[in-house]
Amino acid sequence: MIYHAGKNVYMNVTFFSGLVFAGSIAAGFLGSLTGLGGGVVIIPMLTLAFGVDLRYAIGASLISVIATSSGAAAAYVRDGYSNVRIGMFLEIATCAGALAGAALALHVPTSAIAIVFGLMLLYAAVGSSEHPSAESRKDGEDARSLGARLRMNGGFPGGKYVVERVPLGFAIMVGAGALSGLLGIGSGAVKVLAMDRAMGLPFKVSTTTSNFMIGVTAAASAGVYLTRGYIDPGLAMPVMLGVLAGALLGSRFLMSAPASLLRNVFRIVLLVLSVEMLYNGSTKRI
Amino acid sequence: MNDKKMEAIVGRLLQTGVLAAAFAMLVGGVQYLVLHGGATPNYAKFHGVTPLTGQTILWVGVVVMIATPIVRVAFAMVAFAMERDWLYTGVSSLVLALLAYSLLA
Repeated sequence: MIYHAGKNVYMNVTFFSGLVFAGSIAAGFLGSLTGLGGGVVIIPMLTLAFGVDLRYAIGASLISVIATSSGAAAAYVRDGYSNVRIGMFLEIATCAGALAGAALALHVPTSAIAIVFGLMLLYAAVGSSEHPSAESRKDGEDARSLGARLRMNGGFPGGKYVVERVPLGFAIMVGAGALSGLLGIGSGAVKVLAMDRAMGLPFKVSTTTSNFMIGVTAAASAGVYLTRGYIDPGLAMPVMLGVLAGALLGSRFLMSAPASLLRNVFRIVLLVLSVEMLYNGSTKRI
Repeated sequence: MNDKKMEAIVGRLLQTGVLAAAFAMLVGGVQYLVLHGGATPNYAKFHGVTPLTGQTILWVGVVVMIATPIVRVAFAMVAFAMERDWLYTGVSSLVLALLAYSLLA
Protein backbone atom coordinates (compact mmCIF):
# COMPACT_ATOMS: atom_id res chain seq x y z
CA MET A 1 0.00 0.00 0.00
CA ILE A 2 3.01 2.26 -0.20
CA TYR A 3 2.91 5.05 -2.69
CA HIS A 4 5.23 7.96 -2.55
CA ALA A 5 3.60 11.32 -2.73
CA GLY A 6 4.53 13.02 -5.95
CA LYS A 7 6.06 9.91 -7.49
CA ASN A 8 3.45 7.30 -8.28
CA VAL A 9 0.48 9.55 -7.62
CA TYR A 10 0.44 13.19 -8.48
CA MET A 11 -0.26 15.28 -5.43
CA ASN A 12 0.35 18.92 -4.72
CA VAL A 13 1.13 20.39 -1.31
CA THR A 14 -2.44 21.63 -0.70
CA PHE A 15 -4.01 18.24 -1.42
CA PHE A 16 -1.33 16.44 0.54
CA SER A 17 -1.75 18.75 3.56
CA GLY A 18 -5.53 18.26 3.43
CA LEU A 19 -5.20 14.47 3.47
CA VAL A 20 -2.63 14.55 6.28
CA PHE A 21 -4.90 16.93 8.22
CA ALA A 22 -7.89 14.57 7.84
CA GLY A 23 -5.83 11.54 8.84
CA SER A 24 -4.44 13.41 11.84
CA ILE A 25 -7.95 14.29 13.03
CA ALA A 26 -8.79 10.58 13.00
CA ALA A 27 -5.54 9.71 14.81
CA GLY A 28 -6.06 12.40 17.44
CA PHE A 29 -9.67 11.32 17.93
CA LEU A 30 -8.80 7.64 18.39
CA GLY A 31 -5.74 8.46 20.47
CA SER A 32 -7.70 10.58 22.91
CA LEU A 33 -10.61 8.12 23.19
CA THR A 34 -8.33 5.17 23.88
CA GLY A 35 -5.81 7.08 25.96
CA LEU A 36 -2.91 5.88 23.83
CA GLY A 37 -2.22 9.24 22.21
CA GLY A 38 -1.98 10.19 18.56
CA GLY A 39 1.71 9.48 17.96
CA VAL A 40 1.37 5.72 17.70
CA VAL A 41 -0.93 6.12 14.66
CA ILE A 42 0.53 9.30 13.13
CA ILE A 43 3.96 7.85 12.40
CA PRO A 44 2.76 4.65 10.65
CA MET A 45 0.18 6.73 8.77
CA LEU A 46 2.76 9.21 7.47
CA THR A 47 5.37 6.61 6.57
CA LEU A 48 3.16 3.80 5.24
CA ALA A 49 0.33 5.69 3.55
CA PHE A 50 2.03 8.93 2.55
CA GLY A 51 5.57 7.70 1.96
CA VAL A 52 7.05 10.31 4.29
CA ASP A 53 10.59 9.67 5.49
CA LEU A 54 10.50 8.30 9.03
CA ARG A 55 12.60 11.20 10.32
CA TYR A 56 10.09 13.83 9.18
CA ALA A 57 7.27 11.70 10.57
CA ILE A 58 8.99 11.56 13.98
CA GLY A 59 9.52 15.33 13.99
CA ALA A 60 5.92 16.13 13.10
CA SER A 61 4.57 13.61 15.59
CA LEU A 62 6.62 15.11 18.44
CA ILE A 63 5.16 18.57 17.83
CA SER A 64 1.63 17.15 17.93
CA VAL A 65 2.49 15.18 21.09
CA ILE A 66 3.60 18.38 22.84
CA ALA A 67 0.42 20.13 21.70
CA THR A 68 -2.05 17.49 22.92
CA SER A 69 -0.17 16.91 26.17
CA SER A 70 -0.04 20.63 26.99
CA GLY A 71 -3.67 21.16 25.99
CA ALA A 72 -4.94 18.30 28.12
CA ALA A 73 -2.58 19.02 31.02
CA ALA A 74 -3.94 22.57 31.25
CA ALA A 75 -7.31 21.09 32.20
CA TYR A 76 -5.96 18.31 34.44
CA VAL A 77 -3.67 20.58 36.46
CA ARG A 78 -6.63 22.76 37.36
CA ASP A 79 -8.68 19.73 38.39
CA GLY A 80 -6.01 18.96 40.98
CA TYR A 81 -5.31 15.38 39.93
CA SER A 82 -1.79 15.62 38.58
CA ASN A 83 1.04 15.85 41.08
CA VAL A 84 3.48 18.57 40.00
CA ARG A 85 6.27 17.35 42.33
CA ILE A 86 6.16 13.72 41.22
CA GLY A 87 5.95 14.88 37.61
CA MET A 88 8.92 17.21 37.90
CA PHE A 89 11.08 14.68 39.74
CA LEU A 90 10.39 11.95 37.17
CA GLU A 91 10.98 14.38 34.31
CA ILE A 92 14.68 14.17 35.22
CA ALA A 93 14.45 10.51 34.22
CA THR A 94 12.30 10.93 31.10
CA CYS A 95 14.36 13.87 29.78
CA ALA A 96 17.65 12.02 30.30
CA GLY A 97 16.09 8.98 28.57
CA ALA A 98 14.72 11.12 25.75
CA LEU A 99 18.13 12.70 25.13
CA ALA A 100 19.71 9.24 24.96
CA GLY A 101 16.92 7.90 22.72
CA ALA A 102 17.08 10.83 20.31
CA ALA A 103 20.88 10.69 20.18
CA LEU A 104 20.65 6.96 19.41
CA ALA A 105 18.08 7.62 16.68
CA LEU A 106 20.53 9.90 14.89
CA HIS A 107 22.96 7.01 14.45
CA VAL A 108 20.63 4.08 13.84
CA PRO A 109 19.24 3.26 10.36
CA THR A 110 15.55 4.16 9.99
CA SER A 111 14.72 0.53 9.17
CA ALA A 112 15.87 -0.49 12.66
CA ILE A 113 13.74 2.26 14.22
CA ALA A 114 10.78 1.02 12.17
CA ILE A 115 11.27 -2.49 13.60
CA VAL A 116 11.40 -1.17 17.19
CA PHE A 117 8.28 0.84 16.39
CA GLY A 118 6.55 -2.27 15.06
CA LEU A 119 7.40 -4.20 18.23
CA MET A 120 6.08 -1.33 20.36
CA LEU A 121 2.82 -1.34 18.39
CA LEU A 122 2.57 -5.10 18.79
CA TYR A 123 2.92 -4.71 22.54
CA ALA A 124 0.34 -1.91 22.61
CA ALA A 125 -2.06 -4.07 20.57
CA VAL A 126 -1.83 -7.36 22.46
CA GLY A 127 0.15 -6.76 25.63
CA SER A 128 -1.65 -3.92 27.31
CA SER A 129 -4.90 -5.19 28.66
CA GLU A 130 -6.91 -3.33 31.23
CA HIS A 131 -5.54 -3.98 34.66
CA PRO A 132 -7.22 -2.93 37.82
CA SER A 133 -5.06 -0.18 39.23
CA ALA A 134 -2.64 -1.15 41.96
CA GLU A 135 -3.96 -0.12 45.32
CA SER A 136 -1.65 1.48 47.79
CA ARG A 137 -0.32 -1.41 49.83
CA LYS A 138 0.52 0.51 52.94
CA ASP A 139 -1.80 2.78 54.81
CA GLY A 140 0.73 4.38 57.09
CA GLU A 141 3.19 6.96 55.90
CA ASP A 142 6.79 5.99 56.51
CA ALA A 143 8.61 9.27 57.09
CA ARG A 144 11.97 7.72 56.11
CA SER A 145 10.80 6.38 52.76
CA LEU A 146 12.24 8.03 49.67
CA GLY A 147 8.81 9.14 48.54
CA ALA A 148 8.22 10.91 51.84
CA ARG A 149 11.67 12.48 51.90
CA LEU A 150 11.07 13.77 48.35
CA ARG A 151 7.73 15.18 49.56
CA MET A 152 5.82 13.32 46.86
CA ASN A 153 2.92 12.00 48.90
CA GLY A 154 -0.21 13.93 48.24
CA GLY A 155 -3.92 14.10 47.96
CA PHE A 156 -6.38 14.37 45.11
CA PRO A 157 -10.14 14.82 44.87
CA GLY A 158 -10.78 11.27 46.09
CA GLY A 159 -8.29 10.59 48.83
CA LYS A 160 -4.65 10.53 49.84
CA TYR A 161 -1.84 8.39 48.53
CA VAL A 162 1.62 7.25 49.54
CA VAL A 163 4.34 6.93 46.92
CA GLU A 164 6.28 3.67 46.85
CA ARG A 165 9.31 2.24 45.06
CA VAL A 166 10.60 5.53 43.70
CA PRO A 167 13.86 4.06 42.26
CA LEU A 168 11.94 1.45 40.25
CA GLY A 169 9.54 4.09 38.93
CA PHE A 170 12.51 6.31 38.07
CA ALA A 171 14.21 3.51 36.15
CA ILE A 172 11.08 2.71 34.13
CA MET A 173 10.77 6.42 33.35
CA VAL A 174 14.28 6.46 31.84
CA GLY A 175 13.04 3.71 29.52
CA ALA A 176 9.85 5.60 28.72
CA GLY A 177 11.90 8.68 27.85
CA ALA A 178 14.28 6.68 25.64
CA LEU A 179 11.35 5.15 23.76
CA SER A 180 9.83 8.58 23.32
CA GLY A 181 13.07 10.05 22.02
CA LEU A 182 13.80 7.14 19.68
CA LEU A 183 10.30 6.78 18.21
CA GLY A 184 8.83 10.26 18.49
CA ILE A 185 5.85 9.20 20.57
CA GLY A 186 4.62 10.30 23.99
CA SER A 187 4.98 6.79 25.49
CA GLY A 188 2.24 7.63 27.96
CA ALA A 189 1.41 3.95 28.47
CA VAL A 190 4.89 3.25 29.89
CA LYS A 191 4.73 6.34 32.10
CA VAL A 192 1.39 5.21 33.50
CA LEU A 193 2.90 1.75 34.07
CA ALA A 194 5.71 3.28 36.14
CA MET A 195 3.42 5.35 38.34
CA ASP A 196 0.40 3.09 38.59
CA ARG A 197 2.13 -0.27 38.82
CA ALA A 198 5.55 0.49 40.30
CA MET A 199 4.88 3.51 42.50
CA GLY A 200 1.38 2.58 43.60
CA LEU A 201 -0.27 5.86 42.63
CA PRO A 202 -4.02 6.06 42.02
CA PHE A 203 -4.82 5.46 38.35
CA LYS A 204 -6.26 8.91 37.75
CA VAL A 205 -3.22 10.57 39.31
CA SER A 206 -0.94 8.38 37.15
CA THR A 207 -2.67 9.17 33.86
CA THR A 208 -2.93 12.92 34.46
CA THR A 209 0.64 13.23 35.76
CA SER A 210 1.84 11.16 32.79
CA ASN A 211 0.04 13.54 30.45
CA PHE A 212 1.64 16.46 32.25
CA MET A 213 5.10 14.93 31.76
CA ILE A 214 4.71 13.94 28.11
CA GLY A 215 5.09 17.52 26.86
CA VAL A 216 8.40 18.07 28.65
CA THR A 217 9.75 14.68 27.53
CA ALA A 218 8.77 15.37 23.93
CA ALA A 219 10.33 18.85 24.13
CA ALA A 220 13.66 17.26 25.11
CA SER A 221 13.51 14.99 22.04
CA ALA A 222 12.27 17.81 19.80
CA GLY A 223 15.22 19.94 20.92
CA VAL A 224 17.63 17.30 19.62
CA TYR A 225 15.69 16.84 16.38
CA LEU A 226 15.08 20.54 15.71
CA THR A 227 18.68 21.32 14.85
CA ARG A 228 19.03 18.09 12.86
CA GLY A 229 16.24 19.03 10.42
CA TYR A 230 13.74 16.35 11.51
CA ILE A 231 11.05 18.94 12.13
CA ASP A 232 9.57 20.30 8.91
CA PRO A 233 7.04 23.06 9.69
CA GLY A 234 5.05 22.44 6.49
CA LEU A 235 4.42 18.85 7.60
CA ALA A 236 4.11 19.62 11.31
CA MET A 237 1.32 22.12 10.57
CA PRO A 238 -1.44 19.78 9.30
CA VAL A 239 -0.37 17.06 11.77
CA MET A 240 -0.47 19.30 14.84
CA LEU A 241 -3.70 21.08 13.90
CA GLY A 242 -5.37 17.80 12.94
CA VAL A 243 -4.35 15.91 16.07
CA LEU A 244 -5.39 18.84 18.27
CA ALA A 245 -8.80 19.05 16.60
CA GLY A 246 -9.23 15.27 16.84
CA ALA A 247 -8.23 15.18 20.51
CA LEU A 248 -10.64 18.01 21.29
CA LEU A 249 -13.39 16.11 19.51
CA GLY A 250 -12.42 12.93 21.33
CA SER A 251 -12.64 14.55 24.76
CA ARG A 252 -16.21 15.59 23.94
CA PHE A 253 -17.19 12.01 23.08
CA LEU A 254 -15.21 10.40 25.89
CA MET A 255 -18.17 9.98 28.20
CA SER A 256 -20.63 8.54 25.69
CA ALA A 257 -18.28 6.35 23.62
CA PRO A 258 -18.46 2.53 23.91
CA ALA A 259 -14.97 2.26 25.40
CA SER A 260 -14.36 -1.49 25.13
CA LEU A 261 -15.55 -1.73 21.53
CA LEU A 262 -13.39 1.24 20.57
CA ARG A 263 -10.38 -0.22 22.32
CA ASN A 264 -10.81 -3.49 20.45
CA VAL A 265 -11.12 -1.73 17.09
CA PHE A 266 -8.05 0.33 17.93
CA ARG A 267 -6.17 -2.81 18.90
CA ILE A 268 -6.82 -4.35 15.48
CA VAL A 269 -5.65 -1.14 13.82
CA LEU A 270 -2.46 -1.23 15.90
CA LEU A 271 -1.91 -4.89 15.02
CA VAL A 272 -2.19 -4.21 11.29
CA LEU A 273 0.13 -1.19 11.58
CA SER A 274 2.57 -3.28 13.60
CA VAL A 275 2.78 -5.97 10.88
CA GLU A 276 3.23 -3.27 8.21
CA MET A 277 5.98 -1.51 10.18
CA LEU A 278 7.80 -4.79 10.90
CA TYR A 279 7.53 -5.86 7.25
CA ASN A 280 8.69 -2.54 5.84
CA GLY A 281 11.44 -2.22 8.42
CA SER A 282 12.83 -5.68 7.88
CA THR A 283 12.76 -5.30 4.08
CA LYS A 284 14.42 -1.88 4.48
CA ARG A 285 11.62 -0.09 2.69
CA ILE A 286 11.47 2.48 5.48
CA MET B 1 2.88 31.50 46.07
CA ASN B 2 1.40 28.14 47.05
CA ASP B 3 0.93 24.87 45.14
CA LYS B 4 -2.69 25.62 44.22
CA LYS B 5 -1.88 29.03 42.82
CA MET B 6 1.12 27.64 40.98
CA GLU B 7 -0.99 24.92 39.36
CA ALA B 8 -3.55 27.46 38.22
CA ILE B 9 -0.83 29.59 36.59
CA VAL B 10 0.79 26.51 34.99
CA GLY B 11 -2.59 25.54 33.54
CA ARG B 12 -3.10 29.00 32.07
CA LEU B 13 0.47 29.03 30.76
CA LEU B 14 0.07 25.73 28.92
CA GLN B 15 -3.27 26.74 27.48
CA THR B 16 -1.87 30.04 26.21
CA GLY B 17 1.13 28.29 24.65
CA VAL B 18 -1.00 25.77 22.76
CA LEU B 19 -3.44 28.43 21.55
CA ALA B 20 -0.62 30.74 20.42
CA ALA B 21 1.18 27.92 18.59
CA ALA B 22 -2.04 26.70 16.95
CA PHE B 23 -2.88 30.23 15.86
CA ALA B 24 0.57 30.73 14.32
CA MET B 25 0.23 27.35 12.57
CA LEU B 26 -3.15 28.33 11.20
CA VAL B 27 -2.03 31.73 9.89
CA GLY B 28 1.32 30.38 8.72
CA GLY B 29 -0.44 27.41 7.14
CA VAL B 30 -2.65 29.63 5.02
CA GLN B 31 0.36 31.68 3.95
CA TYR B 32 2.34 28.51 3.22
CA LEU B 33 -0.42 26.98 1.10
CA VAL B 34 -0.95 30.23 -0.82
CA LEU B 35 2.78 30.43 -1.59
CA HIS B 36 3.63 26.74 -2.01
CA GLY B 37 0.28 24.96 -2.32
CA GLY B 38 0.87 24.02 -5.94
CA ALA B 39 4.33 22.55 -5.39
CA THR B 40 5.05 18.84 -5.11
CA PRO B 41 5.46 17.51 -1.55
CA ASN B 42 9.03 16.54 -0.91
CA TYR B 43 9.09 14.34 2.18
CA ALA B 44 10.01 10.97 0.70
CA LYS B 45 13.73 11.68 0.99
CA PHE B 46 15.33 13.25 4.05
CA HIS B 47 17.10 16.46 3.09
CA GLY B 48 18.06 18.11 6.35
CA VAL B 49 16.94 21.42 7.78
CA THR B 50 14.13 23.12 5.86
CA PRO B 51 14.99 26.71 4.88
CA LEU B 52 12.93 29.54 6.30
CA THR B 53 11.61 30.87 2.99
CA GLY B 54 7.86 31.43 3.09
CA GLN B 55 7.52 29.44 6.30
CA THR B 56 8.55 31.98 8.92
CA ILE B 57 5.18 32.05 10.69
CA LEU B 58 5.05 28.23 10.67
CA TRP B 59 8.47 28.18 12.32
CA VAL B 60 7.14 30.56 14.96
CA GLY B 61 4.36 28.03 15.66
CA VAL B 62 6.88 25.17 15.95
CA VAL B 63 9.18 27.13 18.25
CA VAL B 64 6.33 28.38 20.48
CA MET B 65 5.08 24.79 20.81
CA ILE B 66 8.50 23.42 21.81
CA ALA B 67 9.07 26.40 24.12
CA THR B 68 5.76 25.95 26.00
CA PRO B 69 6.79 22.99 28.21
CA ILE B 70 10.25 24.54 28.66
CA VAL B 71 8.73 27.79 29.93
CA ARG B 72 6.51 25.70 32.21
CA VAL B 73 9.59 24.10 33.81
CA ALA B 74 11.31 27.48 34.14
CA PHE B 75 8.20 28.90 35.80
CA ALA B 76 8.00 25.95 38.20
CA MET B 77 11.64 26.52 39.16
CA VAL B 78 10.89 30.15 40.08
CA ALA B 79 7.67 29.20 41.87
CA PHE B 80 9.41 26.51 43.96
CA ALA B 81 12.10 29.05 44.86
CA MET B 82 9.42 31.48 45.99
CA GLU B 83 7.99 28.70 48.17
CA ARG B 84 11.53 28.20 49.50
CA ASP B 85 11.28 24.58 48.40
CA TRP B 86 14.95 24.26 47.55
CA LEU B 87 14.77 20.54 46.82
CA TYR B 88 12.30 21.08 43.99
CA THR B 89 13.98 24.29 42.86
CA GLY B 90 17.00 22.05 42.29
CA VAL B 91 14.94 19.31 40.62
CA SER B 92 13.36 21.85 38.25
CA SER B 93 16.69 23.43 37.37
CA LEU B 94 18.12 20.00 36.58
CA VAL B 95 15.20 19.32 34.19
CA LEU B 96 15.73 22.78 32.68
CA ALA B 97 19.43 22.04 32.22
CA LEU B 98 18.60 18.80 30.39
CA LEU B 99 16.19 20.69 28.11
CA ALA B 100 18.82 23.36 27.41
CA TYR B 101 21.35 20.64 26.63
CA SER B 102 18.92 19.08 24.11
CA LEU B 103 18.76 22.36 22.18
CA LEU B 104 22.47 23.13 22.29
CA ALA B 105 24.14 19.75 21.96
